Amino acid sequence: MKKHITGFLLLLAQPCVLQAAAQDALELNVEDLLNVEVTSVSKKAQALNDSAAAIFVITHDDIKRIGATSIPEALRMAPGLDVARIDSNKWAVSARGFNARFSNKLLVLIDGRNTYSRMFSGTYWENQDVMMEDVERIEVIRGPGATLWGANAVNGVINIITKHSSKTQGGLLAAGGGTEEQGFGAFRYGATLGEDTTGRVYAKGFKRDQNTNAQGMGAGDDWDKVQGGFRLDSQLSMTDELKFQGDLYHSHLNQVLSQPSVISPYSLVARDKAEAYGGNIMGRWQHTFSTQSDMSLQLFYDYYRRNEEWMSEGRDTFDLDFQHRLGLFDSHELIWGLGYQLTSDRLQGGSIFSMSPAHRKNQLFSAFVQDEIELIDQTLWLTVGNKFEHNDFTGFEGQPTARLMWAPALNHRLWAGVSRAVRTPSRGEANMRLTTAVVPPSSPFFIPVELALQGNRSLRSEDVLAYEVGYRTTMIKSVSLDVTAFYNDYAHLRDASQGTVYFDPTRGVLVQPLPFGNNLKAKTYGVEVSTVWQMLDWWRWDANYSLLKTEVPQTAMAVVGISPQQRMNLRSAVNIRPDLDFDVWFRYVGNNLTATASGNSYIPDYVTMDARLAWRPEPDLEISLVGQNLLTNSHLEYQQENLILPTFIDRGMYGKISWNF
Amino acid sequence: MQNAIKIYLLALMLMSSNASSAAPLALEQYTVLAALTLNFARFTQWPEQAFVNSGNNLQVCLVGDNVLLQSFDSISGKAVGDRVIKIINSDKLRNLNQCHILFLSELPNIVLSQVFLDTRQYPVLTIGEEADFIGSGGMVAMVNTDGKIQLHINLSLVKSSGLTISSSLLRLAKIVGDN
Repeated sequence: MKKHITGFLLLLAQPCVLQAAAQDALELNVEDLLNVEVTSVSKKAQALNDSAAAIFVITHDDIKRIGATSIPEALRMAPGLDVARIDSNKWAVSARGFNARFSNKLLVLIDGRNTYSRMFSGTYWENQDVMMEDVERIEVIRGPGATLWGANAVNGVINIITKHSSKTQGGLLAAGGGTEEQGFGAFRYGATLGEDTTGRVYAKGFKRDQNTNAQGMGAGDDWDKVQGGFRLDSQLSMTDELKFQGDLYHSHLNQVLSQPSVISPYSLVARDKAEAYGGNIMGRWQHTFSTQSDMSLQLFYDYYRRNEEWMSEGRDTFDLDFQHRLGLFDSHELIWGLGYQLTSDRLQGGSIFSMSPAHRKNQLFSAFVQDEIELIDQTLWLTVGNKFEHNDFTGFEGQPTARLMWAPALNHRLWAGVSRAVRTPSRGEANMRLTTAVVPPSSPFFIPVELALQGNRSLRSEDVLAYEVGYRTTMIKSVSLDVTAFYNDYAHLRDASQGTVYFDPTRGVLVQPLPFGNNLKAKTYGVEVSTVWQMLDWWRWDANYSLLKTEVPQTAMAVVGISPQQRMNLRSAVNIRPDLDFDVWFRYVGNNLTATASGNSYIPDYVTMDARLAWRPEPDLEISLVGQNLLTNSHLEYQQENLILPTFIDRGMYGKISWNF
Repeated sequence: MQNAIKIYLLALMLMSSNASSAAPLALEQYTVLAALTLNFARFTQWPEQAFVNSGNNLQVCLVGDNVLLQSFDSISGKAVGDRVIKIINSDKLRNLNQCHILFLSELPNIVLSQVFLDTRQYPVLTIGEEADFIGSGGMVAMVNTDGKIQLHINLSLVKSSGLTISSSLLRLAKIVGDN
């Protein structure tokens, strides 16, 4: 044991050597300084974020080194996020609790484009993809971000930022395949178009295998997708920058649906070849007035269509955003903005689902203002702000926040915040009718009973009062630590009540309506700790732990799911040689409870591991081998609320070659 | 226990092998950039009126994260002739004309051009980290090229600001510029 400790101390002593080296460097002359080998590997272990919020950044390098092939898989690295794969092509992702397939308290932006669907106030993760190689970073902000980002950023914001096209010049070709990732390919080419304009185009495609159902057979959830897109960045003048980008995609989302039915056997299980396609186009103009002041104007249009056996949906979204930042009186930084969104949909139902009206247009107007005040020079900042919006469902909403940031020294940050945020009702919650289950005939009536969720046009917004405190430090030069504690007090959460039973003579069933209401109160609280340790120049550890307590009334258990109480991530990144990477990633996810149509479903906890080995025989050529979910044949992460049978996520292995030219 | 020792030995082995294979001296990037900046302070001549409002200080302004600020702490208070270096955190890009040296880390091009508009009329030596920093209108770029720092200097721009950099420093740099 003693030796073990010595070893540990020896490793810890490493940064002190560097510290001493800083003084040595000052003794060197310029010639020597220019001949010194420089390292910048420990930057990740040292940089502290300056925002007064719980923020975690997933870098390009992190994504590459875990071999993530989709955005949700990369998000598993972040603390405080609950990422659960429902099946091959569906995920449930939430921050700080209330996870669901249609989770609705998280805002997701890709290069500033809101991916949120008014249908359920959430994100269709299977529709959102990017060229993973061109992602610069993903910022994960837990807690309310409503003031800057708007409604529905109740529990968090995910900001996916792709690289500027000047940073993706030249070609990139990547291809590979394996057991779950059966085959994939990606191509990108970036070029300079004139003196001040750079651009890139890309195309990618993949085919993913089905997972395993409860009987140990194929779950029929395989999918494939092709996607292409472009980005253009142009510096119009010294003070103006213009960006255009767009994507198009098409995918087949296979699934096995278990639909309730009013005729015997009251439940139909059948394969469904669903498809989804869509595209978006976005323009953004940024103008700088001075170092203290700039503005941006952004416009995007998004379309998607989704055809499933039980429903189909087409949706157009048009969105306009204006922002202006200006410094005032030496100690204020004011940001204000205006936004407008128009969304129009066409929905078709079937035997279990209908929307009334089937076509609807909705508008959203918003305005926000935020002021960051430097109370004590370089030491204490106060940020206050408010967002006002008007939507067609609940009218006016206000979402204020106040945050304090204290930097007692360069390597310490303490912050605290109080915010109110709202989650506005979705189109589905207002206008849908969905049969969630049919109870087979039994005494005393001997006719089937249909349970039908019913939208409520007078539903109000869910709201939260959130209290947060956080501390960030780089205690010693090679270790950074980030701790956040939060307490969320929710009111008016959506639930469903039992309406009056009536007899439907045309179908010969008793109908039990379950209209939506706003009667649920809940509290969540917890702690999130994350740390980065650059143990050696060539060996880094990333670890995080999240604790989440959810308190809901016993009666509400069947209405909301309870996210895992504990999650743990441990990653080791080793550069065995400059041309050889070896990465191992352990994950522990505590048990959780999903609220399904047939009652609560208990999902046991699990531990799993991913690993990646990569070799670069040439600087521009990389060959890698990735293993995912290695510890078990398959494991259950989540069960969708209805329609989809429990699906066990399989172990997967794939190989990949990528070539830059 | 056995395993622990093994891991420790392995770590030690790997560590020593790594150390011997690498160059005799490796330093963190920002440590080197701070030391180089100190040398620029020593080998650059400012017009006398540049010090009218700064008293005894040679002001080095920094725009960057805590890693940059902490690394440059090592040159704070160092003597340069009869003056001492004062580090100023300028992340809000205010009052940039008070700087004698302005070190800019990772700013978008469009913001950089505004910074240069603010400093152009004053003897402010601007330093950046990327090769295209010069193309955007910066004076000195300290570029990491294959693990070593190279100096790029736009000499005509330096001169037109009324600054003079000693030839002993210039001869180690790559001179780039408009003419």
